[in-house]
Amino acid sequence: MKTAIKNKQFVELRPASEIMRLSRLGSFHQSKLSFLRSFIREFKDWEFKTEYFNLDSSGYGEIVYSLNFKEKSYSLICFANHLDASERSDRVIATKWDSSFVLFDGIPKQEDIQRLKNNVPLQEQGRTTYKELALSRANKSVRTFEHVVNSLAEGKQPDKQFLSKVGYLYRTTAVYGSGKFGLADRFRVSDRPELKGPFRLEMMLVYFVRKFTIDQVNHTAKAKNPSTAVQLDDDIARNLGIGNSTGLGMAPFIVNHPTLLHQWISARERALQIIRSIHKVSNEDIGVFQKYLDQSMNNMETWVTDSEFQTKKNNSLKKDLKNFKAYFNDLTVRDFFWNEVYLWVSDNMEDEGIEFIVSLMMEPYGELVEPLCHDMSIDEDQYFTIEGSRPTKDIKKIIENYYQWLIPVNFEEKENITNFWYYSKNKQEPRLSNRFEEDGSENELPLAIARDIKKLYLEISKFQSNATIAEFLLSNQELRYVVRRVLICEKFPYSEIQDNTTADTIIPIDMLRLKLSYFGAVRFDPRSDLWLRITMYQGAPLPHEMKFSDDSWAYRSLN
Amino acid sequence: MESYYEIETTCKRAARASGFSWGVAEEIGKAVRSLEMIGLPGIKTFHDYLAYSKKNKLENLSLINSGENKSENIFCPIKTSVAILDDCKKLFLKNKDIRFSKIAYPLLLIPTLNRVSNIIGQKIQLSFDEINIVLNYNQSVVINTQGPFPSLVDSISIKSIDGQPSYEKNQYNDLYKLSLETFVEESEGKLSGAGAGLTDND
Repeated sequence: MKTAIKNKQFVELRPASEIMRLSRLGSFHQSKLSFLRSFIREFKDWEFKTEYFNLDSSGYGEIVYSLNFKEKSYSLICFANHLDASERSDRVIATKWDSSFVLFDGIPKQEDIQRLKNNVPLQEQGRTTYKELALSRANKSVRTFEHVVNSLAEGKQPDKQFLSKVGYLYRTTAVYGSGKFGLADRFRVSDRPELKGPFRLEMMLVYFVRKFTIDQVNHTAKAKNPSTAVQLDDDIARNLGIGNSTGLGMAPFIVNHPTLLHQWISARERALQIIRSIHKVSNEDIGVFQKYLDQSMNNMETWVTDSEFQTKKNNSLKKDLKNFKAYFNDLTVRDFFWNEVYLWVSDNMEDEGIEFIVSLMMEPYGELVEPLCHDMSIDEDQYFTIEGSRPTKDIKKIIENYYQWLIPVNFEEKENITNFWYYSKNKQEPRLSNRFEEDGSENELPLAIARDIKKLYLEISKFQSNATIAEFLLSNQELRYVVRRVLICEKFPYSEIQDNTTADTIIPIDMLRLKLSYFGAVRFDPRSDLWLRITMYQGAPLPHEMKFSDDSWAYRSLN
Repeated sequence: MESYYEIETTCKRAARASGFSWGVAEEIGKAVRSLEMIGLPGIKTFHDYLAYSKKNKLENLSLINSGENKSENIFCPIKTSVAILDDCKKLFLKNKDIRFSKIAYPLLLIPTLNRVSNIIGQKIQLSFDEINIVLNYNQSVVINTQGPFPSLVDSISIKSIDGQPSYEKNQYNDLYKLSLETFVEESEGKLSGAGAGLTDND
């Protein structure tokens, strides 16, 4: 795929071998392609309403919000409960939460609210139906919530500096959709134009939850001291997002959905290719880039983490951006300006900095970049069937072309197969363990992709080269799942992470970071190698401001 | 009630737990989901099949080379359908009708053979006992019974069928003539307009 530019020059897409390494994928940042941002752009003309408000003086009860356009409506039903401090845990397996939420298709009737009240707070033990679209639960950041309520009740605004350290009032954990716990299957809604982008319903749920958290602090403060309480200032409310604790459960998603992963990465790569191919760049475009660069560098000062790993990455980014600014300020505008910038960046910056600049380069070009969001979903079933009539030598060739990196790896060596992925009975989520220290590897999930593709390569090399894949599979069905992947990778080169996800050197949060950057999360704060906290929608327009949004909100901060 | 996502995921894991490879388990999850979506008893059939396969030795299928496949053992519907799927282009080029002797839970063949119909570009007729099922390019399934469906049949026929029309040619012609009424007659003036002219037909 090449984009023609004047003077018959071409800018190639960056090769998968460069981009699909985990260390690079784990350095991606939010951009115009991020789902939080595309949600706001898609729904900015929808009308927001509070349909039902029934909180008691402690802030417990139910609220129903809706987004409406013509005859279409989506609603969020919020259930807020009392929770003892001893019961508060962000773990997916926790059984009680400060609040739980369900996104409803249409406007719920009282009997729907009652039915869901009996099920949604129970989470995994409850059941939903095809009328419900997404499900989540959240806990308060108690110190922030109390600080805000107390300040408002006393008639003053909360301390911005204190709030900027946390960035949210509530943290959600998993946001479930697409058929989990009886929710509507994806096919039921996939033909709706407003839901074409990935995770759109999940993004909608989180956006509503943010509104709920603001309403709940305002209501609780007012109930606490009706005579003195004030409302949270919009400028502060806007800069509060929703926190999220994300663990390993999310990591296998990007391995289990290879065609979808390709679509996400490909959209980003095509955006970069288009921008690098722009012949004449205006000063206005450069001004937009520069403005967001300055705002981002300012925002980075509010990124707080105790993680040595993340601190190192943040410091490398800050250092690189400082050098980049010096370079950029002296740069004269020439033909193919962004191509020149990109080439400098890729020669002089670390992964974090390169991918940060790639995201930023999209900002002046909404018209070119935003349409790519429509290509970020895919009907995965279309690519499920194995072309069994092809010769086995094709598989060998594809591996040699697209998986060259794994051919020299020796998977007999302990360090290359240290870890195994499994589905935890207790936690009801995928987890990672040491194969040589823990039980359970006999129930390993099909996520040792590199090891099994190498095995496929060795087995197929021994097989008659003119035999068909069908003949090979008759006696090698244990390799069927990787045969499927290899054939997918031939069509979708960005579908595979080009790293061994069972090696002892794996940093699983790189996998989380990749997915979260596509969500549009910021303030990555790893709490270990295995889970991290992030913030979503910080700076996003409040519901009554949505229609005025110019998509610049991701660069706002409390400072 | 479970969503189709839950049905697919649970059946995939159950298949894996029962000894199928992950790759075949993926096929099974999709097959059961597909049966349930078209209103056929996928979960019940797969559930009963698993119990049956524990007690009975099923044929370990080798390459299907001919139209006639006989064995002392009972054929497994999953291994059979996956083997047909993988080799379908070659298989249906050589054979119009592929027959198997005893096969268990033939309903489980339907989703995979429906995909085969799409790949080979021909309808497939699946017949056992008094039951006839026509599989249409993975778009629809026509079946002449609401069940019950047998757990074991003595013979089964899987035929690729050329799309014989269900209508008389003159019926189609009548409709075609009627459709012409939506066309507009070309005048001299229009003929000189955009598009290829009468002499421009090389």
